[in-house]
Amino acid sequence: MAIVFNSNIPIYLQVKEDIEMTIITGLKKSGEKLDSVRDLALYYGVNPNTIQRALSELERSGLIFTQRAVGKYVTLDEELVKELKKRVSVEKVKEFISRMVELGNNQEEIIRLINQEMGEL
Amino acid sequence: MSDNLIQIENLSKSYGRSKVALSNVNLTLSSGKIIGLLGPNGSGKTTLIKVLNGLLKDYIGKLSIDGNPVGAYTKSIISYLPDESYFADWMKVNDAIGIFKDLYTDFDEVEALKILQRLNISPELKIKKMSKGMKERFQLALVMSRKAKIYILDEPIGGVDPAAREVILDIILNHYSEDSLVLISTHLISDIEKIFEEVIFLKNGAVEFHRNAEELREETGKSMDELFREVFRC
Amino acid sequence: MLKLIKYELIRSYRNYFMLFVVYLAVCVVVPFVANIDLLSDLFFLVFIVLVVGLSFSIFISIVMDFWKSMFSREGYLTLTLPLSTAEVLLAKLIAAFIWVVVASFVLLLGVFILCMLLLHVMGEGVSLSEVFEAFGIVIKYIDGETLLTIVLTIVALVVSGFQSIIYLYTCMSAVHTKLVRNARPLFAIILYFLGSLALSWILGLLGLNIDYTVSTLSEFNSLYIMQILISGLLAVAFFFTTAYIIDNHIELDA
Repeated sequence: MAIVFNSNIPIYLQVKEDIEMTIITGLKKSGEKLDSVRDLALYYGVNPNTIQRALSELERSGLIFTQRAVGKYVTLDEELVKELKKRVSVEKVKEFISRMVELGNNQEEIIRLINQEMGEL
Repeated sequence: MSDNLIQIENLSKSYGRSKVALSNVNLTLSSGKIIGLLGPNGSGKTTLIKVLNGLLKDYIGKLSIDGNPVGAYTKSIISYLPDESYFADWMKVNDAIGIFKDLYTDFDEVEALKILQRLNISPELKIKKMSKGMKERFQLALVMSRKAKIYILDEPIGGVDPAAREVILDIILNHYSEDSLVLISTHLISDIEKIFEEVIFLKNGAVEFHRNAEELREETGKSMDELFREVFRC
Repeated sequence: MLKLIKYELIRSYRNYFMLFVVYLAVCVVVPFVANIDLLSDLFFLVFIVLVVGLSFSIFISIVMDFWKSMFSREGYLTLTLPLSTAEVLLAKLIAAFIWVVVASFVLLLGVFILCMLLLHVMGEGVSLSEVFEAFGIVIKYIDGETLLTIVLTIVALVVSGFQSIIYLYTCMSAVHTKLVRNARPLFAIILYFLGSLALSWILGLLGLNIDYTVSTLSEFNSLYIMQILISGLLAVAFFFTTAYIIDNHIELDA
């Protein structure tokens, strides 16, 4: 079983995000063929129609394309993937910042902490 | 594919004068879907399932399964997993496989043996030596090895430990096809809700609603499990 | 259909075999254990007990077998098989009848063994060849008309056998409808007896009750033919009634 789902929000969204991650992180490369709907459904343990929906969304955003009678592939448009990576990264950073601010950190402290931890990585 | 495989019109069934099991149920179930029939014990789930399988008659309303009334044909296209073990105690796994092979033309023996192996059930095992959970898994293996148009599973994961549940869900998903309909009745929702495309909430014998699960999640921000608890809170 | 009958037999044979073994064992043991004079009153008592015992056991087995496979949790399988109710009933009927036939042979065999052994114990042992000789003499006395009687007797027994069994099935099915919710076995028994009474009363009204006190064999034969026809019709009627009940009014709540 792949990821643990949060059943309170639509599952197709979570599947979509997970596939996006595999593309952003390079796990699935440009032009690489995706598993079939059936295999994805088994992998994630969800209804095949949910997978379909996730894939439709990904196709709408241009991240994947369909080759008739053959299957679905990751886009060859590397710029698009970079865009997505930037977008997701910015989202994560925003999340992080709001959490840190909640804890009572100001900008200087946040940056200092980041440098400190990144130094140790 | 979405033809109306099961059509239920104004179905009502009561036991005696006091107990109403089903009250004016109207449902249309299409193929290519995995549908959850959800409700607490006594909500009419089992009654509805028995009616579909021809185990209960004397009801009001109209039933159409693949365009036919309940009979030998509809029984041949439905693969039914009841909540009870329905084999005689003295039988071995092999005997049961023999019965299915002989009486159901859509039964795939190779598939059945594969699934049984996956579930660690030996063909020589005697049914009376099986634990309750094992009996259920064994029957599930046989039921899912038929290439039926309709699968009706009554509590397929009840009495099964969490590890086995994943295997069972995997088996069910494996046998999904666009040409078949899977109707699963359960009250253990959290483990299984991610495989449902649609859910039917049955309360006191009546249909509360029949909706697409993802749409419900989007609309309410709740899981089917949470919704269930809300709807059926006494 | 053949496959179905095969399964019916496989499903039930353990039970019947046990009965047969017990019965034959008793037949073998009794001569050595009890001091019985052949053709004495005690002998007849033992004989009756054995015959009634076996017959009753077979009767109960047929009833329990049908009840269990149709209306208990096994019914979930039986009643959802991709077959018409008529096919299912017919297979069970034929299988049950086969057991009755087998039981009859076992019954005769047991009595035969009992007698032979008793004779031995009493010191008047008779060899098998002597028995066959006696048998041969009897057969010589069978002429055409007697043969007809024998054949008709067999046919009548067969048809009545079917009728009795299917009537049992009808009673058992009738109590698994919405008419009866509790104490089903009790109601089935009541229905069985009341139904039998009602039936003979109706037949009496129609003048169809057969009086076997006649003198000539040919009259006997024509009576037999009537009996066969009536039983046959009843058997068919009960068969379709049972199928109708199951198809339209069944309630399985195992």
